[in-house]
Amino acid sequence: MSWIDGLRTKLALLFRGRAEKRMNAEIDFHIAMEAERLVRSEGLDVAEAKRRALATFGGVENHKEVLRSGLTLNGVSGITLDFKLGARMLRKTPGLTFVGVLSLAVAIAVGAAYLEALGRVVNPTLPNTDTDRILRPLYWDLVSNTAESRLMHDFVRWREELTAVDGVGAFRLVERNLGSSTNRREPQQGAETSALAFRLLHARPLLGRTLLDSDETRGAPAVAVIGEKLWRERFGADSSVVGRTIHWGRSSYTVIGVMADGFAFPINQQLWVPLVPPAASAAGAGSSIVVFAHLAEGKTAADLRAELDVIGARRIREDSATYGNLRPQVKPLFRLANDPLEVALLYSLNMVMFGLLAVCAANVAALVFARTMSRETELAVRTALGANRRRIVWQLAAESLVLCGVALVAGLATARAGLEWIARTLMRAEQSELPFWWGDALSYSTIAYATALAVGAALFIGVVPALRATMRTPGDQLKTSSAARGSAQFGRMWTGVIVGQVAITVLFLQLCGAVAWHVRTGRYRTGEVALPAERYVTAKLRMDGDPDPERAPTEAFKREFAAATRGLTQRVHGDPMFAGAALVSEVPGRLSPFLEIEVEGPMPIRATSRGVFVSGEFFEVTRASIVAGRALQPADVEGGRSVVVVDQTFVRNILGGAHAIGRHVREIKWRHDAEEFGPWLEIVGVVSDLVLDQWKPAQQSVVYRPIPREGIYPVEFIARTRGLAAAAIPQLNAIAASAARDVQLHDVMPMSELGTGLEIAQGIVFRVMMAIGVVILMLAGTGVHALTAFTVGRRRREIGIRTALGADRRGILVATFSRVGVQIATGVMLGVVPGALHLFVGSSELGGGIGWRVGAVLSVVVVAFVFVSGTLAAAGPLRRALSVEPNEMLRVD
Amino acid sequence: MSKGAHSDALRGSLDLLVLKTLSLDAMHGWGISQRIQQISKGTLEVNQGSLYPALQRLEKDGLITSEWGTTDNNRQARYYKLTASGRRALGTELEAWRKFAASLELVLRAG
Repeated sequence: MSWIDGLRTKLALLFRGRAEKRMNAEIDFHIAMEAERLVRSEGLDVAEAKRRALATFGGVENHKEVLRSGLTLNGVSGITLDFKLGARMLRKTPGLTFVGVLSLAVAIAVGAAYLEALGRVVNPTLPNTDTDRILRPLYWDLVSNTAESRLMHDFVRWREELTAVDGVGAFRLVERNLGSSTNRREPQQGAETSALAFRLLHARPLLGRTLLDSDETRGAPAVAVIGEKLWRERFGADSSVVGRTIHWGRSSYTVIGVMADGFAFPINQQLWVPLVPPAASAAGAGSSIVVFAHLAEGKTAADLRAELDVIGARRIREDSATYGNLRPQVKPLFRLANDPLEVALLYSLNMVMFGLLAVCAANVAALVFARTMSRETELAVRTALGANRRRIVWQLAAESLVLCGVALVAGLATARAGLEWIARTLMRAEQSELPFWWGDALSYSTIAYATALAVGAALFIGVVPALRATMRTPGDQLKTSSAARGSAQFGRMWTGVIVGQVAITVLFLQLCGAVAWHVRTGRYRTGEVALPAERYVTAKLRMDGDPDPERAPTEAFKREFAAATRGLTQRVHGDPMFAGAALVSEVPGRLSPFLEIEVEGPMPIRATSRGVFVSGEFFEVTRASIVAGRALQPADVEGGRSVVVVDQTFVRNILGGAHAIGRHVREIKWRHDAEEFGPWLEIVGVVSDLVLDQWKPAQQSVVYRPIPREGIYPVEFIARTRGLAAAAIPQLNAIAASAARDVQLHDVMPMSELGTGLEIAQGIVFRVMMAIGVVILMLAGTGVHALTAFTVGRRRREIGIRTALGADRRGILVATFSRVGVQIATGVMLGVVPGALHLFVGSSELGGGIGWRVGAVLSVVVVAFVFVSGTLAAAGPLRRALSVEPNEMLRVD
Repeated sequence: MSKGAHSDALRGSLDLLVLKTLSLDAMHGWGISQRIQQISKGTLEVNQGSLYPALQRLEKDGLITSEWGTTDNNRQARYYKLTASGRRALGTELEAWRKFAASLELVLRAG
């Protein structure tokens, strides 16, 4: 292909230094060869031969200058000029520049941020690490369709058997109370891990050393490595921390090192102790661990999988009872999403972002078309002066490239900052930390994707209007432009774009309004707690020595936990800062699990309610009003009585307001597609609703059951304080540290802060929706403005004649605005009907279902708002239409 | 006709001469100038310095390519050769030249 060869040469010549060197070498060679020939054929001496050779060659410097002038790309200067003109055009039409850059930047930012976040979750890259060679061998249970995590036995054997890898390690996440002789005790997440993790990630300690293989042997001293963040927060960045003893759960460890920030294996942990395999471990037993392995040189994941298959088949022959349903699998260790279907779905969601960009680009293209048509004279003159259609289309495309280039830079900067803000805010809401590989910079693939989007948008925005604008011959263009009457039409395509834009605006604003309504009315929360929340402290209680967070705790463990938590509530109850404390499965304000129930009676009632387990002190602590019957009492728990208390919503919405006391309910469970019924429980009392929600349906009613005698694990804690709850939190921690050292207190906070995380997440969603809504509204407004301005521009002569013939201002207005008005009305109708249907009967999870009355009012408000916005957008051009001077127009004609 | 007149006639046809010369073999710039002079028996003397801008132009158009090579006397030289497009262009240009020359001949004969 000649153009490829030519392009290669042109690009090579762009490197000035190399091109100059080549030129000098060629000329020197030529002159040397010619001089040699002259010496050989004519017997000249070398100096004379060289002089003659130089003379025959002609002025060397002149020829070099000619060659140098050919070093640039043909047309480069023209291209530079086009881009300069493009930049000038941005300044010349600031309105279009603002709207175009803002809308495209938002669309590019949303697409880039989504792809970047997905990449970090699905395909993360860890610095200085061959991430894709660190794999996770596991067994998949065909019956439960989950990964079998009790792999200690296999981990030990894999370390000896596998040859496709050069290292096998394992870790398990643990959360225990951390304290030192001078420190308070607080739950701290950490990992029991193989030292291999430190080697694979090339981790360098800030102080001391990392874990070594020798630390994993049985009988080795118990040592721990802490992260820099933990070192600063809990140990005051004390450089003498190495060698100190810390107490983590029921064990003590000597700190041997501090890891620099940037290492938080496996996700965001800050404390590591060696994972010491037990002397003997049975297959399919023991605690849950994650095994990881590093591929040996020249080996692939397929090699490892093949080797695991062979080993797996051998295991089945040896122990079919344990391994019969287990099949080996290999997955990347650092991927947070592994299911291919899930990953494909996540990536396909990017089409939504692509759609947003397409809508924005189509609208900007409409605006650019309107601007291009206003430059008819300029284009006609250029054409008349010899510029062909290709040249003009390229010039217009270059202008769009400049516009989209600015939008690209703004979009990428927004994506980077926005992603950072969303991730940090969500983590704050979740009280969690980002994975340690979550960096700040955007990946090259994201930048390439965003650039491709911007170039695609630029070509669409520039080329499509340019092709349409240059369809006519120069003669026609000059004739029509000089006569000040355009023959070009704002075609069906652009009209369709504006109609679609108005429809989307209406639909989206309805959705935004509905989401705002849901947030305001608390539909997405459990509702306002009917307690003085600032006077209650809540916490989640767990227990050190938790054998395995992924498995149901044993009865003995639950009994030990129940005794410890009971001790804690009694100590808190007796403290002067507190007025009472109770245990509950979920404190009011947090969503408790649904409970399928049946109410006994001649016509049994089946319904869904929420089930909450409470200790005997709960109603006294929460001061819930007893509407009928009695509250649950400690004796109900101790005696294991089959009684429940229900709230007023239950009576109202499930019993239809009928008498409740003495009636019986029972739980319905589903097992193997068959119903199973729990024991009948007598309703002994009705209490006031602890959660206020005017929308509260039957599903939000509550059935309070006494905590079983053996306790539940984990459990939540609620205590009423005599002063403000925030002031009592240190005292609660102190009591826990002295009276219940093994009990972990998580998320200790005043009840008034419950749901803050959810509100933050909702806030993010709402702000992103509003940002998109503003962009769409702005695009629709500018579209209407462009259409009206275009119409007025094209019809100035007609308006002039009408005015001269005596048409009044109203007639002119109607004639000019009618087309725009019809388009706005069409868009509104297309948007409002599906939007209203969604508001009336749609799913509340998707922002619908706010009811007929509110939905109708919201729809009317949105329609009115869009009409007013559309009219305002058209106001400027309409004013220009009214100020057309008929004499002037007729004179021009 | 004087030598100068030959050079003027040559200037417009330099690209064609270079393509034709390279159709035989890959060659460096000095070799091309020598070959043209040799075949034309000294009638067509290429202005040696102007040969290089022509080579640069043809290479940018993708009609020839070049690479460094070693000459018989062990010097480094830039060797040029025709591309497939260059070969096609040579055919077209030759045809056009022959038609032009024949037309010119007819006019001159008639005169």
